[in-house]
Amino acid sequence: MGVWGLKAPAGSRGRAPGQRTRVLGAGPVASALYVAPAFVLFAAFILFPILSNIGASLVGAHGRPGFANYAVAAQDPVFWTALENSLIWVAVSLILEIAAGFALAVLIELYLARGRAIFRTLLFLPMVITPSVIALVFTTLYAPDYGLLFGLFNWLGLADSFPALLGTPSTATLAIIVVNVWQWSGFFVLMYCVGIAAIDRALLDAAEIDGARGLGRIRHIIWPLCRGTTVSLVVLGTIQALQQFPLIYLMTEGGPANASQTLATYIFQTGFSENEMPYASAIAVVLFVLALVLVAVEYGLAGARFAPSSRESRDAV
Amino acid sequence: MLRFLREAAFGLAGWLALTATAAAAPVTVTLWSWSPVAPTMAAMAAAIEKAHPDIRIDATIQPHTAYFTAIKAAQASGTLPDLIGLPPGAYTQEYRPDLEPLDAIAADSWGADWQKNFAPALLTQARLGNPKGDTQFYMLPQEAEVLNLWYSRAAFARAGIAAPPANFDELVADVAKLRKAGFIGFYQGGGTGLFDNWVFMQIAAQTDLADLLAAENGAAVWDKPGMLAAAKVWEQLFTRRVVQPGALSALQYPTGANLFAAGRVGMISLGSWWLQETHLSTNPALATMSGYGKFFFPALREGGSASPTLGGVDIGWGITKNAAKSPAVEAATKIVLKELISGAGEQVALDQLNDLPAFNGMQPSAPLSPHLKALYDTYIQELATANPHQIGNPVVFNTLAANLQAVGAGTKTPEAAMQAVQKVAAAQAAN
Repeated sequence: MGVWGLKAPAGSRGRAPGQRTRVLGAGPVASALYVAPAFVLFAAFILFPILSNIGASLVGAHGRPGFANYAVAAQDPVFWTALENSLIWVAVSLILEIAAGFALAVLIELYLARGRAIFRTLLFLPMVITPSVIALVFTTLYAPDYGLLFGLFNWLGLADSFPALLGTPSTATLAIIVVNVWQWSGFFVLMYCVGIAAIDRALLDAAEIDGARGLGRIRHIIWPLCRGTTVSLVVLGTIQALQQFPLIYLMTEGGPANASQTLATYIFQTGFSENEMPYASAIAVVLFVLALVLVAVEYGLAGARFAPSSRESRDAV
Repeated sequence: MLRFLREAAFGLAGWLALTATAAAAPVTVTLWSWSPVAPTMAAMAAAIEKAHPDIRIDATIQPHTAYFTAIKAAQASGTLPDLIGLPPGAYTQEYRPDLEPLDAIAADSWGADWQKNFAPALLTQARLGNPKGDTQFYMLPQEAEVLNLWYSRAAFARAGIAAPPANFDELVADVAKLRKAGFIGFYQGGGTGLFDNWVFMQIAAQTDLADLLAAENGAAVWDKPGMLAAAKVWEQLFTRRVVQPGALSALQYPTGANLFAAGRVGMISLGSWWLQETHLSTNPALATMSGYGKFFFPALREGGSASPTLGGVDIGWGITKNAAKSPAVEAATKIVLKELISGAGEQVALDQLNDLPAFNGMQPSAPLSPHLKALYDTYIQELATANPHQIGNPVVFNTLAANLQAVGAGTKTPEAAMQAVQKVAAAQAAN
């Protein structure tokens, strides 16, 4: 065995086959040295910016240290709107993306005899389109007076009741979330396709012999066996929803009247548009903590296990 | 010995050649901005380089948001370019610690009485937000603008409208006629806070000009009766269906401007920069502006006067302290600044009618069509007496835009909205 675990070619000189090379040994010092490069990079590009941001958030008026920015946030109605919208983004996006992703993946993997690759590719296509193009297309699609949806309403004789989806505070956030779901569902489909394809056929066959068919098979066999995929997607989807910025900024700039503002867009507005960088840093810390808490809760609810236990696999059949 | 001499001669020749190349190499001046648009800036840079072969301009033009994000990062990392484009007020003030005072440079460029070359309103705006007692200029204006409403002559003709509305009731009636004729009567890109604020300010200039100007300079007077009256008129733009349905999700740029250029819109709030379409379009209605006319926000009452002129600095330039990295760059940067404002650079921008020149006496070098010349000359006259149009504090600016949108959406009354703006303005004034 070589340094990287590769077998030495037969007849090569050096160590006997199976003999390990220990360059640095296996003690605590060697372990630290192995970890050091990754830790240095982590510290420089992750840890330092986080700590630096926390430090910046503690700079109050006239440079005085303290929690003044957090007190301002607590009194700021736009901050609370942004926080509420961020949570709505996570909840609605995840529910719709997981529902659409799993349903389409089941259709593709279990019920489609031919053309699976084509459908997977088509569904994944929105993922590779730049958000600015998507925002422009959907803004035009939603537009009253000249948009495609308006044309449909007009054709049906319902032009007067066409809703200005992006221009109405109560619908703006949901209208953008729909666009996000449209863009990301293909990724969820792809992941679930991989998850379903990885299920042992013997389990599915056994379940069928035991009488599990149709929705019962999906609910009691496939869904539990895709739990690892679901947990991964929930975590990824949460982070993606919390980070979403371009669609919101390009479609509404957080408006109207801050109604579609999220923590991510509000950080940008306060930091770069209003030049209130310490306040923006405080909101960024809140977003960071929110992401940590949500992911921790998700892991907690999932039992911190990506894959079902062997007992659960057995129980499933 | 002979070999040594030959090698020494080659070495000396090489050194001399390198030295000569270094001496002849042009000095590079770096410049970042969001305006003028990239092709115009490229032409301006080429004209300046032609006039000064010893100077090379490395210009980077980015969209508005990307630009201000980039210079903030550059400021934090100490890597600002030599020249930066700036709007007056809050942005200039934010970068003031990194900017050179320009009074002495201006005096060197245009003489001791250099200030006579700029309209007083422009100079006032250029120093907007300076600390008390600091009379220095940290940016000098290159281009100026006047705010107004534009109308499509073709749309008006199709709708049977003879002239722009003279009062608010006529505006409402004309929009209905335009809508009936298949046009968007009055396009408002309500998703763009800047244009919400500018329409409101044009209304407020009629109802309470004195308080509007005070508010622009930071005074917490947003709840005064005149300001509230303006907010109520703003509300009527939505309740009386003046602006198009879904206006709060619409963007002034690119959507509104494109629809107006395409002949789908009857009226829109833009400004003197709309003249730049003459250079960007081959459509005769746009290329000569023969299809378009301008007017100020109509009188709120019958027999009253339209809004007084609002306008001022569109873009100015500041020299960063990084330009002093070498005497050659510093000297070249001063030359470029002068050329951008009153020389070859501004002449190119003006010939493309990018906007109005801030420097007095500059004229487009090519003759303009009669209608276009009339528009241009009127703008120049209006600019001389324009009232400032910039809200100095960005937090107040954003708060006003959000509250105007809330009024438009019907989620806030004008009273509640102006009180919300007042509260934020008072807190900002106290800081």
